[in-house]
Amino acid sequence: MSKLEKYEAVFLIVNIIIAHVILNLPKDLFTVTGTATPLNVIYVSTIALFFVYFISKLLKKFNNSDILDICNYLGGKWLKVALGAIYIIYLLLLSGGLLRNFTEELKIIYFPSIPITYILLFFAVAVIISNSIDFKSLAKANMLITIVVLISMIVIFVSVSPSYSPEKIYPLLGYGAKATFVNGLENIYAFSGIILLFLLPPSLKNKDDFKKVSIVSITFSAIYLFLSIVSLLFTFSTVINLDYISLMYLLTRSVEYGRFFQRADAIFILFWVISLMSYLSIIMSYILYTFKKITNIKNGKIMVYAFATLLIWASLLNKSYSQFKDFYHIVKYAQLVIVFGISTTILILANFKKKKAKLKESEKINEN
Amino acid sequence: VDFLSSPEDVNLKYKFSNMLRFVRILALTVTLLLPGLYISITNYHQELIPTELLFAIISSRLEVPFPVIIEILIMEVSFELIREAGLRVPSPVGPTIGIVGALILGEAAVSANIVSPILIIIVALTGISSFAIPDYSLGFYMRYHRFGYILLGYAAGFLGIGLGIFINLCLLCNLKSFGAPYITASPKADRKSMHKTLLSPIWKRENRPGFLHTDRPQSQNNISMKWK
Repeated sequence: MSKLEKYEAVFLIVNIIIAHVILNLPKDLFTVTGTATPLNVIYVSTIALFFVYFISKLLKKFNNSDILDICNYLGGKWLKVALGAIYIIYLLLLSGGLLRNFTEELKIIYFPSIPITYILLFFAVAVIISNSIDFKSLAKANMLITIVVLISMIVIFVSVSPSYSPEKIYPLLGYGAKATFVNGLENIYAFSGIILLFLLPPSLKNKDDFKKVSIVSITFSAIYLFLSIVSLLFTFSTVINLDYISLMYLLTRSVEYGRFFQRADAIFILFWVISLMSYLSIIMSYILYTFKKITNIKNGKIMVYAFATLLIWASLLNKSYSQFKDFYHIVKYAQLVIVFGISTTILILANFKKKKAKLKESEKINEN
Repeated sequence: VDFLSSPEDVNLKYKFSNMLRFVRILALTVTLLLPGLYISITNYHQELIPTELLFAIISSRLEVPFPVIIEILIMEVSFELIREAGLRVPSPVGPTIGIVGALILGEAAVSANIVSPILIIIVALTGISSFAIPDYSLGFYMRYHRFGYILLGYAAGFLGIGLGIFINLCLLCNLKSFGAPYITASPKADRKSMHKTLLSPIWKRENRPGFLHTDRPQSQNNISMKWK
């Protein structure tokens, strides 16, 4: 992989939250915490910030190594292969689920008579072509795309601001303090981009930038998530539950500029399509990177055809949208286990091992 | 943006040059995307068109027997033929070909209900915009990529157009000429260079472009405006 500048790396992580917010993330957050979601977002964002600070401290001792190298150091080749396989399966299922969600929406809104596989093919083509070029170029393109999408989001928030009713934020604590701060802790899965931070260090041009990249990217993501949640909460009631259509799309439906432009939602869909293609391409790059690392194959890029097929398979895994919702909940909890459980435990244990090895070394020197 | 710069830009006042650059960027977008966007909007995203305009488009297309894709391809190919013929014939006849081709053929096509009047506007705007691109090779790229966008727009509306833009952007970011990338996305890139999206005042054009990694990065001293 070519080395990334810190800005390019930051936008890789920010793009992930954008993709999730465009789809059903706000609705899922509202389901758990109701009107207390803005408060909950501040709460989980603070925890996420502390968490990334903690993992940046843990990763600092392993110069430019990612979680797979650290696995190799801790438990040998088999642990590395096992974690790599978990990462690949998780990333495929997560991105496949997200793709299914988005294509279902596109089908309902614009292509009611077209089979879903036809829509999926467009994303597969984007993933294949973008992964046949250098990763740095993809990161650069992603940076430009993410900036445009962020600006478009701000335009949406500003455009719908006349219809805001701030009193919808009450009651401030939503379903209660326990639901907000205890049950609401699960909303930390909103920061699913953290998983890429574990694989990021070798791709950075300057290894000292890792801490800065991780903190800035999570801060950006948190601000963006907070703004989205507040805009949605001020516009809609939290009890709104339309199974198929995302709240963000509904928000764009309320954007109108005078009598002439009364339905601008398709323009935002265009930006989101590009953003989602970029998201899928980045995830695919990391899948290929992980696969290459655990199998030691010479040219990982060639596997893009196989993994793109698997991505389509993962998105078609569920026959109906209701099945998909249950499946998405499993993926959500799997993320909590993989990112906050397994990966962090491995990092902590590897740090202990390193400390022990250092102690032994210093004892040997003292004996001599 | 280097492809959209014209040699006279540096000799004009920087405000005028920047305005012209904006016009050229707009021309580039129009020439590349307008027919594709038109076909996407009319086939898939009709809600974008204000109601009155939508009625006007529908009524203008009532008599046309072809689908929009055939209509637009007929007009685009005709335009390319007229352009090529205008270049090949002796110079005194050239303008005549343009007038006969563009005005008479266009008018006749509309009268014969082969194409709709709104499409003539779209194709004419696209064609005029393509002439505003200073770099001849870039103009060619735009011309043949335009056909790609027309087909993508026909195939899946904004989804297809999005695919085209994404792939084009990735490939542009991947392009290098003598080791210098076509697109520099770093916010720190070449603050004082003259090779930026917007041209700075002449006393601020002190550095050579950073991506060239030249031996002498400064093109003029930073005291070139002593009197300020």
